[in-house]
Amino acid sequence: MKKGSTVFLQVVILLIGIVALAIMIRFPLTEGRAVNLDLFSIYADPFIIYGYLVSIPFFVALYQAFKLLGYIGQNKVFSLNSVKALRNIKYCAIILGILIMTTVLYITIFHAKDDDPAGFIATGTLATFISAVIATAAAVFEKTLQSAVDIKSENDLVV
Amino acid sequence: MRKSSTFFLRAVVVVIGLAVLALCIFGLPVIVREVFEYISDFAYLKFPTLIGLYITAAAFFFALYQALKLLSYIDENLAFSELSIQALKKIKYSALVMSGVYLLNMPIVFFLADKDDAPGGIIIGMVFACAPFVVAVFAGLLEKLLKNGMEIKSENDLTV
Repeated sequence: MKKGSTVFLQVVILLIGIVALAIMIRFPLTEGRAVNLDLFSIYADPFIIYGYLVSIPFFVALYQAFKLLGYIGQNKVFSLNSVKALRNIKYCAIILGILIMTTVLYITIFHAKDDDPAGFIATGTLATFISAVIATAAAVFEKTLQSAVDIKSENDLVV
Repeated sequence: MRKSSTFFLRAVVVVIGLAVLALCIFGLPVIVREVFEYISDFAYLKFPTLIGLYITAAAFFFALYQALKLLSYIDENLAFSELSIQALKKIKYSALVMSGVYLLNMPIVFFLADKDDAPGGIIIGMVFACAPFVVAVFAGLLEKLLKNGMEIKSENDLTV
């Protein structure tokens, strides 16, 4: 296995993580109502905190993908470890999807009357959809990989 | 292999394809026209740009079709086979084509962003150029993995 491509993808994952983190830290400061608040009350807003909590599964999944690429680079991809990493990614995507969907429902029902959160709802629905796609893709990969691992362990027993 | 999970993915691929098709038919001509009305100094680049964008769309549809084929191979338990390796190879090449054409389009994005005084436009253009490249690397990696898996499997078939 050539090492270059896994390292490249690992760098991409790192970049995605850093960009996501930077946006998450920067965004509350640009919010209109944050102008008159001190730093503490900006970040102590319940919704902002909820946003940070929701992001945890996202970063866990990124870390698992990073680990998975590491296994591939070490030629250990057909192992139970990588199946487990894929399973964790699947669970993270499911949790993330459910949390985002809950948020969208909450905002849809309880938003202020003169507010129009159409953009938020569209983005949130799209994010839920993407999470579902990633969860299924991870599940398919997991199944395929599991079958390969089974074959390999059979092999190792025979030899 | 459960059929339901790849069915969902196939449906997603089809939906994405339809959305991009709609964008190609209704969106692209309008966007390109407006962009070149805005930077009218480069009007002679209008048709090459439009053709380039349609080339990337064609490559995209080709890659989507290969993805559909790959998913059906997974359904038939043929994931570790020469067929799926071929499909991944084609996905890799079409992603590289898309990346290359978007890179060629970068000067136009650059002029547009410059005239609009919106440096964010360049970043978005670079993301468009880089994302297919990441997909290409990923497809290449999967291709190698499948080759590995195929070797393991054929070893198995020989011993049994």
